Parts: sequence; C-alpha cells; structure tokens
Amino acid sequence: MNSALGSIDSASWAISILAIVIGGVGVINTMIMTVFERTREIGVLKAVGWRNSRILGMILGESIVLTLIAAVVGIVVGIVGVEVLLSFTPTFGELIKPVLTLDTLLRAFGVAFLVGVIGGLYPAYRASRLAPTEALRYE
Amino acid sequence: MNDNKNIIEIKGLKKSYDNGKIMALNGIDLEIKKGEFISIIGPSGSGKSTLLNMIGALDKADEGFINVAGIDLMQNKDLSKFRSKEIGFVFQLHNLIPNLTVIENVQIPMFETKSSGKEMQNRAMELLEAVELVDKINQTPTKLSGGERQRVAIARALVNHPSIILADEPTGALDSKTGDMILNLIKDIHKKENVTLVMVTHEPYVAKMADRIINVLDGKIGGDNLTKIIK
Repeated sequence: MNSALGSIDSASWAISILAIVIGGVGVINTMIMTVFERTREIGVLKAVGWRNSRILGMILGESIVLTLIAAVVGIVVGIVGVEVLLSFTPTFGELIKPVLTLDTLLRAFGVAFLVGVIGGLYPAYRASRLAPTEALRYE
Repeated sequence: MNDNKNIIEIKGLKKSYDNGKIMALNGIDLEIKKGEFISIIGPSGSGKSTLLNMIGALDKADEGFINVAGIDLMQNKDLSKFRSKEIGFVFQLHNLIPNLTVIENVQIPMFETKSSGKEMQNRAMELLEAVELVDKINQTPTKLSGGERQRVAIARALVNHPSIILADEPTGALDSKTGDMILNLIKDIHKKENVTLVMVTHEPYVAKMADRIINVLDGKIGGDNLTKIIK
C-alpha cells in the first residue's frame, strides 16, 4: 500500500513539474506575443519619457498578474474537478478524501508567482530594450 | 516671442543606417532659439524626421554635437528623463493607446513625474478643456474622429509642461479642414505656452505658418529662411 502511494506521489510530482515547465513556456510565449503586438505602444511610452525599468516592470507585472489569475482558476478547477471525479467513483471516494491545506494553496500561488517572474523576465527585458524609433515604426 | 537664447544647438550632426550605406543626416548645423516656431521641410527621405528624432532623443547620432535644453544628447546615456521633462511629441498618426480612455492617454507621460493622482487629473482636465474634449474623457480613442484623436495627442504632448514641442507631420493623416483646425490649435498653444515648436511637414502652406523654415535635402540643410521664397 505504502509503495503504491509512494508511486502515486512521485507521479504527481513529475506531472506537477511538467505542468510548471509547460506553463512557464506558455507564459513566455504569451508575453512575447504581447510585446510584439504592443511594440508601437511601447515606442510611444518611451517617446513620452517612460524609463526602461518602468516598461520592464509593466510587462513583468502583467505576467505575474496573468499567472496569479491562472493559479486561482487552476485551484478552483482542481477542487471542483476532484469532487466531480470522486462523485463518479463512490467506492474510490470512500477510500481517499481530498485535503486542501493553506500550505498547498500558498505553494500553488508561490509556484504561479515564480512562473510569472521567470516567464515574464525575458519578454519584459526585450520590451525595455526596444529602440524608440524602431518601435514607433513597427506596423 | 523668443528671448534670443538658443534652446537647440546642432553642429556637424551625422547619422547613417545600414552600416553607413544610407546617410540620413550628413553634417547638420542648426540653432533654434527659445520660443521659436520652426518648420522643417524637404522631400521624403531627405532626413527631416531623422533630425526631429535626434532633437527629441529618440535616436542617437553617429557623430557631431547636439545640445537641447542644456542637455548634451551625445554624452547623456539615459535620456528618458529628458524626454519626459523637456519634449512633447505629436506624431502623424496620433499614436494613442487604444485600450486606455482619453484622460488616461493624456496622463501617461505624468507617470514619470512625481505628480499625485489629483494633480494628474487636474492637469489632464485643464488640457482637455483647452482642446475642447472634456465631454469625451471616458471614451477610448477608437470612438473618436481623426481630428479629435490628434487633439488628445496634443494634450498629451503638453501635459508635462515641455519646453519643446516636436510635431512630425501632425496634419498628414487628416483632411484639409481638420488639418487647418489642428494647425491653428498648435499655433495657439505655441503662443500661449511660449514653447519652442519644431514641425516637420512637406506641405509648403503649412510650413509658411512658422517664424522660420529649414529646408533639409539629402541629409543637409539646403536653405534656411526660405519663408519669403515659399510665400
């Protein structure tokens, strides 16, 4: 029994790490697309005197907000999903009871925050280094 | 209008692109006095917009000397503070941020100042009143006409009390009637706020409105004080 639970635990960790990596790549991709689409806007912000650090902060902030919202949605979907799955398998549901602790929640938000920072850092840096004239010419 | 003190001094300014194959500016010498209204004219590709970008510190020259509002733009590395404090840009395409409201667009440059929320609100309202757009403050630019958008852009350019307004073909994307209205607004602001106004245009009738006309040709100043010739 213990070894079976240990295997499940290891598998769930592996899936979590995979999800974090995929999520991180997704965030980088989304934020790079955002920077591309808003190149002209970034050029305007530079032209009116925004510092590179402010632009970096703006993109990074958006990335973090995006991942924190994703964390809230993910937690809600996770809780509802587990309940729905257990309701379909009543025998299994009697054996395993899902437990959601504050520690798990904090860890989830911590991971989301970290993914937001790591995923947003490169696009934010790229945005902050754009040359104003080139950004303003961008179609 | 002007107090005989140079606010812009340029000597031997050169700028090339594509590894020196395209010479955008080829030794520009220019002095502009505080409070002057200057038109820069010239055919497409002559270097007039590049010159405007150099004055506004949007781009850096390869060699030469350029001093604007007491700042040596060749030596200074972080020019965002200079742009925020001294320069107001009006572009041909208004360049407003589409998902922000009119008042938010006007307030954008103030984020780099230490103004409070109330100060930002008051200054933006004051300018939107001046450009007669108070009734549209909560609308997004997508719902405005071309002339209204350009008026918002003018308000945004003035929000930090700049000493120089740089306008790159501000009427280029407008019909003649709206264009005239925008030009009159820019002229009025130039008089009232006593700002130095540098406007790039390729239309002689627009250039005629200036105190002085600078003709840029192949990256060089081809002729100054052409007002009489054009008139």
